[in-house]
Amino acid sequence: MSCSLRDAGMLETAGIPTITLSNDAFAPTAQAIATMLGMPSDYVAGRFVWLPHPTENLTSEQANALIDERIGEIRLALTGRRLSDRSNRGVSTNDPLSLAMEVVADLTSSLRKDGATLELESYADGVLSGRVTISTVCGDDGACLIPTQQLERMVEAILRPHLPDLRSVKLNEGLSP
Amino acid sequence: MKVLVHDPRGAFAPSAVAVSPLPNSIAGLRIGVLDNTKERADIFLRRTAELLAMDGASITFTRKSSFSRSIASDTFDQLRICDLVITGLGG
Repeated sequence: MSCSLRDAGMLETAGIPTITLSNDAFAPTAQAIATMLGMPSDYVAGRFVWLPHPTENLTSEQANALIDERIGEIRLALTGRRLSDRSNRGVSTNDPLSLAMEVVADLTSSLRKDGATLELESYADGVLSGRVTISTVCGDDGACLIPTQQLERMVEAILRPHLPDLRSVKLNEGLSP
Repeated sequence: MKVLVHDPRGAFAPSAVAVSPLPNSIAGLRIGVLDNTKERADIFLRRTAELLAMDGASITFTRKSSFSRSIASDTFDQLRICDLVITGLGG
């Protein structure tokens, strides 16, 4: 997801609008990365077309049928006539740690599908602390899905509008057995 | 005497990405397709390209070396001439 959004950012900057087909389990991750990369807040809502998770186990016939079903939405996205409401949900608490947990709940859920857990443990003096436990590595070259430092920046970016006093996010990294 | 103390912590402030405007219609567009090599991406994207070609778009199909890498410069050059790019699968 990170590279797809970086690619999209590079193309957009070069004057080429870009639409991304994506698995809907990764919508929160996409929103967090887009925020971190400095994309407009409605970028993911307008430029992503979601396919139902999981997609990797579909036969070619099923994959083609899914695109046949979604082509209308893809056409609308290509011509800027579609805007979804996946992002920018409200939050319901003022306690900084609870609020942070609520804001990153979708991201936490998305990470869990990748085999990682994100636990926020404390908020003090503007520093949000937590733990990320990684159990899977993806890519033939061994690249992790989201390096911890990048995850810290993602969490910081999506929390910043909700926690004005936030100074930094510190995540301790662990590997599950 | 005034003492100026700098905060070494820095701030997270990504520079804003300028987003390009989308076209009004598909007919006549040069659409670039960027396969990021994720599982089944080629199948989803090829079917999408087939259907958009029926709408009157011309298609340039490209593929990354790996989904965990950024676009190679020669691939980027192929896409640079396009009016719009579709990529996938994000995830």
